[in-house]
Amino acid sequence: MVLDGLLPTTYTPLEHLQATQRVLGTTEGSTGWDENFTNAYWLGWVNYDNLPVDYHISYMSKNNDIITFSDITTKANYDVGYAYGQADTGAYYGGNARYHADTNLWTPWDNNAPTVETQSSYMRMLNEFDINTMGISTVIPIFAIDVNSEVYCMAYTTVGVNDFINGTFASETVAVLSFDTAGNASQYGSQFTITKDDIAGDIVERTVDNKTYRIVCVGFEVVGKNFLNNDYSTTSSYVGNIKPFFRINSTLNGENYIINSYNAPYGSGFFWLYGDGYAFNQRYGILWDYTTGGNLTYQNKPYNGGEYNNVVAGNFEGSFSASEAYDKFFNRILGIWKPDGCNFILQGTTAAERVMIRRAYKYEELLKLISFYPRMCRDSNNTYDNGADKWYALVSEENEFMGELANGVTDRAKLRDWQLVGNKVNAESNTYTEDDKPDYNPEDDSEESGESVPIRRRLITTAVSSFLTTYALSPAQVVNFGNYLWQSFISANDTINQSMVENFKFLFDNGIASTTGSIDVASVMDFIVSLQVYPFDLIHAQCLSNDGMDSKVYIGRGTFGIETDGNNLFKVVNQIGYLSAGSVDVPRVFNDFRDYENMNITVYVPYCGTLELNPGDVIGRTLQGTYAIDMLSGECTFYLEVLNALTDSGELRYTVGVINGQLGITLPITATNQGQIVGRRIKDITGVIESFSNWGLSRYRADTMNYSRGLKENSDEIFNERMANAGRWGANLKLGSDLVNQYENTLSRACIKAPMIPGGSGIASFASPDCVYLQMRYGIYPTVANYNHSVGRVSTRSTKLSFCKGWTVCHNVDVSSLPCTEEEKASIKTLLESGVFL
Amino acid sequence: MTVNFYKIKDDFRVVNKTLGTPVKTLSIDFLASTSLSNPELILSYDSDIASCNYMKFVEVEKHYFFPQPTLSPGGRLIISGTDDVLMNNRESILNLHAYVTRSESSGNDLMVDGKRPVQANRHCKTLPFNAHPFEASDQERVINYTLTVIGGRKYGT
Repeated sequence: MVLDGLLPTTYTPLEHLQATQRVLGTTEGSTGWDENFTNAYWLGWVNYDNLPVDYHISYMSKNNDIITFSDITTKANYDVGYAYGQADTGAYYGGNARYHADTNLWTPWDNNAPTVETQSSYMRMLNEFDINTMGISTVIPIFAIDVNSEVYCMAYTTVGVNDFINGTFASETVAVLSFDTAGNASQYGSQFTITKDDIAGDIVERTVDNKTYRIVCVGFEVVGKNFLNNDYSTTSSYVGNIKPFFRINSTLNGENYIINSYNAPYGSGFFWLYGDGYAFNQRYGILWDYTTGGNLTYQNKPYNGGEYNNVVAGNFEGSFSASEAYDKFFNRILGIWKPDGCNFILQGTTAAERVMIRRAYKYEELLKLISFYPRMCRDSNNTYDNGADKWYALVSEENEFMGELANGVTDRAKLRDWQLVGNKVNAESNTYTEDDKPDYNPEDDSEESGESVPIRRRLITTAVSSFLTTYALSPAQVVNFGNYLWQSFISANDTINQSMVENFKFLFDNGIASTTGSIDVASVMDFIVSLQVYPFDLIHAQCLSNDGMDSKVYIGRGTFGIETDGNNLFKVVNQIGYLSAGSVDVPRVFNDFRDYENMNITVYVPYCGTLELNPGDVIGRTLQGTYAIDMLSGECTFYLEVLNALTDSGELRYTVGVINGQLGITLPITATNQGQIVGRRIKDITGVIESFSNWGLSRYRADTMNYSRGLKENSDEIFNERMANAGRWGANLKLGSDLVNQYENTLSRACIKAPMIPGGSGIASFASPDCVYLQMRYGIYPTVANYNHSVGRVSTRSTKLSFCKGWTVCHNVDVSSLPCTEEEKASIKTLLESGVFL
Repeated sequence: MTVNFYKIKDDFRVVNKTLGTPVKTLSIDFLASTSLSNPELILSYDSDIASCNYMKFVEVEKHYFFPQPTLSPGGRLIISGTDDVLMNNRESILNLHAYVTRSESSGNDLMVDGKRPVQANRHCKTLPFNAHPFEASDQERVINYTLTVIGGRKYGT
């Protein structure tokens, strides 16, 4: 059943390329496809030359409008899957291309002149694998969309291997992971069935538990071939024939969905060439041997089941036992791209376990996801044991699917080189020699090794628990606290109220018991160490607790508490607070040396400054920033870590940048010296006031009024001086609640909204960004058409010249072995060192 | 000696040149000695040969470039060949082992390519980290002050 809702609405060649290349790079504002290839990554058969002018798939090389496929030497016409394109003219040719042995030209499928490929022709590409040798043919990736617009990613079905081989199963129940739109997965929920007739690319509908799913069945069809036994009758074991459903681009309920499937990893491992006028079973397999750095081989297998024409060793076809074939095959699959920020999650320990994706995806996510989806690897012990081996699937917590590589290759660009040079493997020996080793050998990569050194999240509680208590307050709580301290000190009409004397003593007079509370040792002001304001919610600093707390600020021995706002307070329980600044993926721009040369990478860290990074440390990595904050001083250290550097031994985490700064700003209001300054004046005043007690009431009031005015004026001067140092405000500060309110209003607005520039200027800048950001500054390299043809790529290869094609420049060639005259040798040497076309 | 004359398009630096079908084939008797490195042929005028630029001595498998032939009195065409050492030794050259510093077909893109043209101006790409720790969603309820006091532990707790 084909449903209208998911029928392709657009099908452009560009989309072909995206799927076939499994290109994941994105550019801001794009729809997931980086047309300029600046962020594109390739795996498998994609080759390119002189991007972005031209690009090539597989081992095709492009010369103007002619695709040549020089390594296929068998004289026949071939059709080969995948797409090629021509960025300069905008023409993209998807799907299958035809190789004409007589003219040595490639043209699109069924057409002698380049035309834009059609969906139907594209769908002719098949990828096949032998389940006997691979043992994982039970992996049937299925994706479905709930008609209610929720996107569901299904688990694999687990058709039994034998059933699959024998074609004895009629249908299979598929467990469905239910997700909500937030990506929360529930237990296995709805189930529906697939059948062996569910051909790839078809969209079928299943209704289970009152939910209707449209299913995009990557699927399979059982065909009557058995490569192992060279038997193509329909009665022998079957070979799973996976037809990759290419892509659906559809709008459903107003949302765009792109479903794009591909039966990787095997699609990247090999595919098939079809002979011209081929009978159905006459195929030519190409096996890409990654383990040895890339090996393009092919094999001619006649239709009638006759003798093999093993042109090159390494093809998985042949009379191998399952284990032998497995070894030959699996050991050569480079396999899996590990997404940045993602881990391969082992889902169970046996092949019967389902591999799953654990969240819902929409549009971009799904696009990225399925491009990589059915990628699995086996256990690393190189001993495949069907039923006991482990499967891994990509599970993204970050919803980011980019590329990293297993099998010792840790760098995408290096992978590409590895593959490219791998094309030139010695086709006769199927092995590398010193002479034809690739330009880049991943084993030479020594830039990352050793152990992870993550930042330590230490728990330090001594200072804050034994001698001090640091309360974490909201602005309202600070206001209330301040109001309490200064309440009724001076009334609004500038007159002294009844408890003025007591308040003075309460606030500043050491050792004198207050009538308003029980002060144990000293005045309130002497107990206050500091008041600081931070530009973020301290709740996020992982250092607070309200366990056992009430709504009062206690001082000293804790018998006296000052009420705040009635809400339970938080206190700092770990002197080091940790504030995450999040992470960022540092993309490759060019996928070559230009990612490192002439590249400057800086990270701006609010409240700290700017970190200069070495591109080699961070390109292609995920960086994570963390502020570690001293909650007593307000000072901070920003750590910038690399999260996902891969080595042979696994994942590394280490710090690539550290910078110090100041997050907490001390307010000049409550420090002891502040209290002492003010307190001395108060004591003078109160002494005078007491001496006035024998005077008449009117005189008392009049003189006290004078003194109080003097206090206000003098205090204003003090505060003005402090405020001038602190920044831009302070000129109009008042004592009492007005003062506190002024602090609160100004500081909370300013500090929460805007970071401050570090370096002692306090609240000096209200316009900084509210996040850490990374800046990449790199050179602009104009595209030079036919650059590789006219200039050539830099090579570090020592090889037989027959492995090189096109423009080639050598260094200090030894021509002594040439059977020619000395004069000719000299000429040849000169030409080779200045450049020749091979 | 059989001599094939060609009109080739390949650059002189192409090792294995595409010759195509000979434009003209002559059987030549040498009347005088000539060098195999730079042979000189004096032929009767032939418009086909006059349009060629390449020749091959078939018996000795030697290939030669030649520029436009020279016309001389008596309707003669003088051709001065230059030894195409690449074509003549192409199989040996292809079997040579050499350190390749530049190649059209493969390369190590992580090697710095100093020949890539680069503009004086630069591109700047800004990538924010995915968290915004200093962005307060609710400023009324945010807890962003610390008050540190001596002691402060509630009596009895």
